[in-house]
Amino acid sequence: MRNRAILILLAFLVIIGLVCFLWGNTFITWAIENTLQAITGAKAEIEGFRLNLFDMSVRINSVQIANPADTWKNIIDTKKISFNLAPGPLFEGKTVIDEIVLEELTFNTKRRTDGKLKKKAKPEKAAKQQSQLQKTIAAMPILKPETITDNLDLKKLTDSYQFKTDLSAARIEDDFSVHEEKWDANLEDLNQIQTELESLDQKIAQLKKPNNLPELKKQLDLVEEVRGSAQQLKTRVKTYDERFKEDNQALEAMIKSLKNEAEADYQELLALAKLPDFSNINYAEILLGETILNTSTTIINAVDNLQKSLPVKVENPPKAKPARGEGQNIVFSGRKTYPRFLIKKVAISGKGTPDSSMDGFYAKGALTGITSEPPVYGLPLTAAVFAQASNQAFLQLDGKINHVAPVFNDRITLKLKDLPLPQVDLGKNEHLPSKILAGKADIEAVAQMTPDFIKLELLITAANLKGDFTGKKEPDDLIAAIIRDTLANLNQVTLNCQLERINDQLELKISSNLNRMISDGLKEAVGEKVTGFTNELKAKVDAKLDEGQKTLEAAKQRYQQKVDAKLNEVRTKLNTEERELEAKQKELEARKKELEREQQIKVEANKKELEEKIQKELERLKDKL
Amino acid sequence: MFWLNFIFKFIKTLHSKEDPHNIAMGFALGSIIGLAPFFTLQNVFVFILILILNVSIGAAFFAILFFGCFAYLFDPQFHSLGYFLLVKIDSLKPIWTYLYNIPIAPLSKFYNTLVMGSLAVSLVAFFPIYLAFKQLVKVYQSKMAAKVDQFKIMQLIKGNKLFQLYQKIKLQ
Repeated sequence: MRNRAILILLAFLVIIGLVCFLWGNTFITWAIENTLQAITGAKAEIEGFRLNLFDMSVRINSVQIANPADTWKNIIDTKKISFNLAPGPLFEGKTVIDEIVLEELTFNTKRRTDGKLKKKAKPEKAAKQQSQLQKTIAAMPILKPETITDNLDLKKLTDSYQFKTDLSAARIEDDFSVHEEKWDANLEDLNQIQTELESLDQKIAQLKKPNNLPELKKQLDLVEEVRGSAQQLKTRVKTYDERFKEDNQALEAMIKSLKNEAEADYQELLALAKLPDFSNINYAEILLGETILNTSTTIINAVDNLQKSLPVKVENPPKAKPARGEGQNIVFSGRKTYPRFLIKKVAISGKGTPDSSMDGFYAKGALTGITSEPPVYGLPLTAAVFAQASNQAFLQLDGKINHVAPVFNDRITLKLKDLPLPQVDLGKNEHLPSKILAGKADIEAVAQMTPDFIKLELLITAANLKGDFTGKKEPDDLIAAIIRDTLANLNQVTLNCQLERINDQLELKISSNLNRMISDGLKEAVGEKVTGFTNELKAKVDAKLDEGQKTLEAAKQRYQQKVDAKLNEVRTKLNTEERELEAKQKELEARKKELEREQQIKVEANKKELEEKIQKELERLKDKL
Repeated sequence: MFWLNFIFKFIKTLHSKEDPHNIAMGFALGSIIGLAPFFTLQNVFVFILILILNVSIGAAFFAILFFGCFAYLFDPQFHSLGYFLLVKIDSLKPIWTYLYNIPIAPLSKFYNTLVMGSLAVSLVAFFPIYLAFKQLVKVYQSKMAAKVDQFKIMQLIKGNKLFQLYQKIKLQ
């Protein structure tokens, strides 16, 4: 034993104790800040962290967490936090807090510094999906007023344009010719069938009234032979009939496909005239798609992190692939087990300081069951928060995340009413106002999570919007100008977004009455000329279509009648032959019965004659004896 | 520099006619800490043992450095072994559950697959490492130490201040 080493060890422990005593709070603050930053992806700041080791109580003066979507604002800003750590679980390396009281809670406060993290997050799967989805967001078409007049010359435009409808009609006509040739060959075969039918007819005509049974048998055999031949011919005719129907259907489809070509012609001519089809453009997606996608992706990432932090119950956890040096933590249940991290309840309350900008602000709510191991705790995480600002705007958040069992269906709903829009940053889109001067919005957001998918639904209804475009460059095309006019004063606008992630695939859908408003505005602005032009263009394309369809229909009718007539003729002849054959067969069978009867009579007469002869001979022999 | 001093000290220890048992025991105890992925409760316990028992501290630190260098390469194997012991062997589960529910034991982080795997390997390898290293030290001290002692670098190492301090502690 080294006594001196024990002394050195003790001295070392004392130094460690002193370091913890003097800088322990700093270390813990740093650790908590890092954890919060890892979850939110934005800067988290904790001030005045004090841990009292005697009663295991914690006091925090303020916590500010930056909004990852707008790093110059705090998503949460709270002061005076106090809670007690349960001492027992600490000996098991577990942090258990019964209740945290958050006082003076405020949302969306301005920051003095940028809350963006210096170190950029690693590009993750979600970021890749987002960039892929961003590429699919529609782009703004351009419509220059000075080019409209030049482009609206229908003759000039159509003279130099090769109509796809014409090309397709010609191609289909060629196909018709090929079909016609084929059917002409088939008609030859049908003529051959007709000739064969005539020879059968001659055979039937050869059948005369038989005078004896062998002759009758010969004639019946001939009837069977003719019937077999007729059946074969019937099968051949049937095959031709079916083929003809199939060909007709194919040709019908070809004629119908002309309509698609005509639509393509119309769209292409519109593009040449540089006149987009106003009613088919998703302006809301163009204007707000990127901002919505960024915000939604931030929420999805937060939800992802939340789900990772709240593992579900598994009896035998599957083997994970942890990073080197990390390993996988296995959870063991037990009656007295605490999760490694547990806050049973977070009570939220806040009130703005009188005569300050926050005067009238009020917040109240509770979060329960915040834990790193829900299956061990056995209760779901619930959230119910209500906050109201002095201008009567309110926020209501309700959620339940139940990861106690392996299959879960989590739901978080957020309602914002009378949200003053001048606080909203619209991003850097050149078509959007630099700021909103007036207007309020109601927002309803629902996040739904299951093991297979995450779905975000967002409904925004805004009213009395006034946009300010100061500092934005003047629009140099008609669409941009109309958008600016529309967005400058909006009575009511609704926006419906849906972001879904199934099996790592993101899908974004945006719809809004903004589309109709801008489209109507455009139609009104470009006036009768454009409407007349589009109508004329449509009529021209429709005329081409009509012409092509009529020509093709006529060609189809022409040879269809020819083939139909021939087929009907052959069919009729065949049916007549069959009927004749049937009649002949019946006639022969009747004759057969007649001959058999005559034969029977003859046999009976011969029998009688022979019997009489035998009788006479017997009598003669009897007399002799 | 800190680790370099301990390497020098370890070399001097080999040349100091110290009992091979102490050197090998220090080395074997150091291997437990060296193989562990991070500092856990059991490592603190082993570290205290190294300090208070009459084992070679130099050898222990050398082992920590030596095993710490390549233990990282075996992380996947340690993880697999730890997972097997913690999840796949049902008969051990009551023991893990009991340990998980009593105070202090969870601080050892035994429930981590990497900690469990590396601890199992270091405990199994403890005596083989001790015996092998003891033999190695004996061979070195009897056959090679005198020759190596005459190298100029050895004179420099022996003049190291930390080595002299260590010698003082050892003589206590």
